[in-house]
Amino acid sequence: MRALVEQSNAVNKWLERFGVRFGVYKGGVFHEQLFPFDPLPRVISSEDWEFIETGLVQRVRALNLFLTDIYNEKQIIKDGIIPEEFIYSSKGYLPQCEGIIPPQKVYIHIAGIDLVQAKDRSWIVLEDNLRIPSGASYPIIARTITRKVSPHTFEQAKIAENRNYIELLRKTMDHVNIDKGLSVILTPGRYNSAFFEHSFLAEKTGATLAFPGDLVVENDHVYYKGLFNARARVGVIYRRVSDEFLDPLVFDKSSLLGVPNLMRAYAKGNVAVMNALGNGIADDKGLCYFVPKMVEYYLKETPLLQNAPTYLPYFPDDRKYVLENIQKLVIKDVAEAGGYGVMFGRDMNAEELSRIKQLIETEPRRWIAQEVIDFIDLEVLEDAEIVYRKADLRAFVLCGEEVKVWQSGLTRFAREEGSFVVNSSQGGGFKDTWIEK
Amino acid sequence: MKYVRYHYKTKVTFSNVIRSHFFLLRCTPQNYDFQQVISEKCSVYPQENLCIDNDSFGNIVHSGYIENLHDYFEFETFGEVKLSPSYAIKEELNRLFLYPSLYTCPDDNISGLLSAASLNESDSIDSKVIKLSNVLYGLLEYSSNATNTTTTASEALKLGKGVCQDFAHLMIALCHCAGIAARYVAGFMEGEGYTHAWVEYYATSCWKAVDPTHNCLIETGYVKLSHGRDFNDCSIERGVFSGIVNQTLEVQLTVEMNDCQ
Repeated sequence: MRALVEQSNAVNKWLERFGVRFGVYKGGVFHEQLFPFDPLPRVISSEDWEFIETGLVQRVRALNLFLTDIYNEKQIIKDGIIPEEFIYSSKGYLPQCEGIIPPQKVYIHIAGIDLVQAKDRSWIVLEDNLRIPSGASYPIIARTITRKVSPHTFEQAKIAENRNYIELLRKTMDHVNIDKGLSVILTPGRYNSAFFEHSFLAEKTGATLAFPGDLVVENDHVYYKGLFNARARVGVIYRRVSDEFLDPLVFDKSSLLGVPNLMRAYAKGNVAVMNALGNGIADDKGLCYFVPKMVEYYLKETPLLQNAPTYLPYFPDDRKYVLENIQKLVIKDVAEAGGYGVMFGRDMNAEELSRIKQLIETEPRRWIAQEVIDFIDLEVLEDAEIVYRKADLRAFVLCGEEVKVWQSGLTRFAREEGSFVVNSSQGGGFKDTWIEK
Repeated sequence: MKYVRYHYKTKVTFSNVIRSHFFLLRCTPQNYDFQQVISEKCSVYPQENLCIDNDSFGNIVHSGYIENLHDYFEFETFGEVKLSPSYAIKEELNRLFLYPSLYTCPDDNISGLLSAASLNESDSIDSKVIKLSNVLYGLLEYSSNATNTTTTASEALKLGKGVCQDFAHLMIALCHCAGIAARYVAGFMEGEGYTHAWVEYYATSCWKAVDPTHNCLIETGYVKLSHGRDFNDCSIERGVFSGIVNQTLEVQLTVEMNDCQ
């Protein structure tokens, strides 16, 4: 590991040459910045990993069954496990997806589950990302580069290979591909925060990188329009465009990023879309509270992974607790993502506190509150010195024929001491994640 | 029973040529308890292959794609329908229609109207609905230029003006405030030169209808094309294309109704 530290400048130079970047909008202006990399890997023991792996597979299986249920029978509402209001008033629930069964019944092809390790060493889920989780490309590249600058380190360390993500992704796409059509990765384009990743994954998997306008829907089938209008029928679209922009004839009509009438081809089962449309209902922050209940309900199993203790102001008892204890809680706006809309009670002044309390009383369904998890600090190298920073782990779960957890993940750390905000869009950095064999 | 013959035609003329034109139409009636379709036909020009499907609300949708350059777009739908003397659709309630959507989200002004309607616990759902419609009718003036297709219920109420779409959105919002399930309906009615919008509300075990623009409960004389949460779910035509043009719209609708056996 010392070799990695010594080579850290070389690693960062290579990352820059590879163009490992992350786009951020600040004040409405697009900036692309390097994604800061720390050469010290996070190491997860094989025992810890086995537990995480089993827990994640269980969680994602339950979430997939929940999506099948919620867009069809809605038994979980009828049985009183989840109040209907949490479904019907969620922006993530898309009535347009009612009754559509995606190919192979897979809704969640790629899940990015954010976990933290608490000071008592237990692993806790912070949130599920079931729409278009990004970040898998960074550890692959980091590993490729660190192996290059310090091959010796990897001869000694017994750690799981992580460059097989590409194969897992490819298998996930092939599993749902309709009639062996073309596989495409649909990117919103150059100015998306994760454009680097879209092009990287397309190159590595051999899928075609498609921009809006490259895909047309004709006779309820999707075609890729190549040069000179040659056409190829598309069997699977790994889309990196959000639901609301995906089909301007069904959702946001001003969207230029989508594929008009894609919904019709999808509803007829002529193309697979991954992740499925409508997944936003399952990773709505307000629904997170119910995920362990889904595990019990659909799988009749005891949930292995726990959420951070969460309170829903929707329930009067929880609301009372939240209002009384707001100073020690973290408050999240259920409609926001990427670290936006997250407020720590202890950081707010009296005026801000009374404002948020009022919002919680008037719009209880819009907020969740969680206990602040005091998660562990990891060693981070800063100007040749070791400092300690909060970090989380985004684990990737892929559902092909089997549900598999990628033996790596994106470890993100906060740049400021004591800060809990690790999101890349908020300036956080990343590390490689080593799973011990 | 009423026998209805309808003919609806829309022509959009573009000031210059356009291409890559995708469209989605919801302009075809289907059978409901109160409505029996005898014949129907939908066509578009320049002629293109039309795909037919049902959307998730069960409405009939036609979709298509015109790739080559064209400077007009026309769609035409005509047919014959029989209507029962009473407008009712018996079906299980989809509880989604108890919740607001983007267009029908109530604000304080809207929920404040509830007290003006002075609903009583003992009122039947029909009489609650007509009371709400009365309140709304007194506050919203029919005006064809005040609002557009993006106006929400709360914006229309602030303006105090609107068209059938705005009346329908506000009526849905009011029904929701009163705990009554309600949904948006697009279709045709006798004597109007344009398409119309009204509201279905759920009374015990079936959907009945109210026309807030005319402030009356609906018995018959309305041909239903589609339903959904709001205007967005029921747009008669949606399209996107490539080209920088001005558009001119011509709409023709004739609806003839006769009593029959």
